[in-house]
Amino acid sequence: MKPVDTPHPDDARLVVRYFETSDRDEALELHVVRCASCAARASHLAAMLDADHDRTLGAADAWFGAERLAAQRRAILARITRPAGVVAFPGRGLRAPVASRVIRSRWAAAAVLVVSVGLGSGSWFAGGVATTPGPERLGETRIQASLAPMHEGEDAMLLEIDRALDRPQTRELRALEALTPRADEIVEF
Amino acid sequence: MTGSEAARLGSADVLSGPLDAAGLRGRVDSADSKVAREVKALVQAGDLAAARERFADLLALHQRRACRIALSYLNDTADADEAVQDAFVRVFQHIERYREDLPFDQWFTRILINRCIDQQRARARRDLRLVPLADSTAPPSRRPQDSPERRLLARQWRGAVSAAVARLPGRQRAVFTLCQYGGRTPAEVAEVLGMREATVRVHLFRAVHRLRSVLEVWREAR
Repeated sequence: MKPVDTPHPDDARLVVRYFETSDRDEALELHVVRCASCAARASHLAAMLDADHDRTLGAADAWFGAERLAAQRRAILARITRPAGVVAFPGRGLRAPVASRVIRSRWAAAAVLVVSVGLGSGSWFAGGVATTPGPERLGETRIQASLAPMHEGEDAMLLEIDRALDRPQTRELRALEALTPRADEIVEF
Repeated sequence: MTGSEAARLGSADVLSGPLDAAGLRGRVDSADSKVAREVKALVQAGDLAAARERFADLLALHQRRACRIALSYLNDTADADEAVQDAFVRVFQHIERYREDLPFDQWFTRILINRCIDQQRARARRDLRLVPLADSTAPPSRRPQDSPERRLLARQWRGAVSAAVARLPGRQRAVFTLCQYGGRTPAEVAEVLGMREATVRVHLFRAVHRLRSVLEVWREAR
């Protein structure tokens, strides 16, 4: 056998060599064949990684046996057959495309509500401050406001708010909202 | 498709580094890549029933290896099952984005690893709130020829190795899992993870170096 004429490979090269099944470095291969100490190092490393590989994959294959794999296949095929939009509780997996629409409509309803309340209170205050009404005149203003004919647009908006508030999702949110503590309800002990 | 979306789906668009043309050609012509192209064509033609039927063949080709990788990465049977299921469902839903000039297993493995990472993060969040009663989800060693003592020992060391693998930093863990349990070469892992091959080699060596002490004992306990 020819003497070794290349430097001894470090551990990093031997580790990578173990995982390379093809296209190995020829010079390195020659060195490992000719150098007894490097051959022993490579063999020791291979035995260590082989043991881990066999045990780990043996445990994995034992767990995912034929029955479990078949059940998993059925579950996957059922999931890709199920129409989009059906989300398994509690929302694991795929988010249904309808969810974002619902969220947007909730935000729109909330925005409409805030704007309408703001406009209504603004006009009420504007009328009150300008005329500085006494108690009897304030009553008149309220009556006039309630009897004033509403524009069709306002009517539609209010109907939309009513519909938004009456949706099942909104009712669920109201229940949650009722449970949410307010800042002024929190008492520091 | 955005960059983050591509990364999430494992699009080959974000791959970097040189690809071995001959090896790549061989894997593009492999059985699984051909089936994936058929599934894609069926989905594009609107024949979803036939696509699902053909997809079952693709599933059979990759399922066992996917379970091995996921379980080795996550060391939790339920999490591994979920990650594998999610990965396959995602593949079917996004099959139209599969690039036919690249091997299917490369695309699929990247999706699977991303699902494993997501699952691991979800578990980390969950573990912040829950205290496990026992290590009941780790796969047991079930070789009937082994004595109970030997099986117990094997299980203990398996737990030690899994814990050591779980402590590896993310990239080292992914690289080591794919090479050691997924049967990939460093060059293939570089393609899958979109890293340079030299970087993969460094991660691989560091991972083995960190695991060496526990693997040594594992070997002796064999």
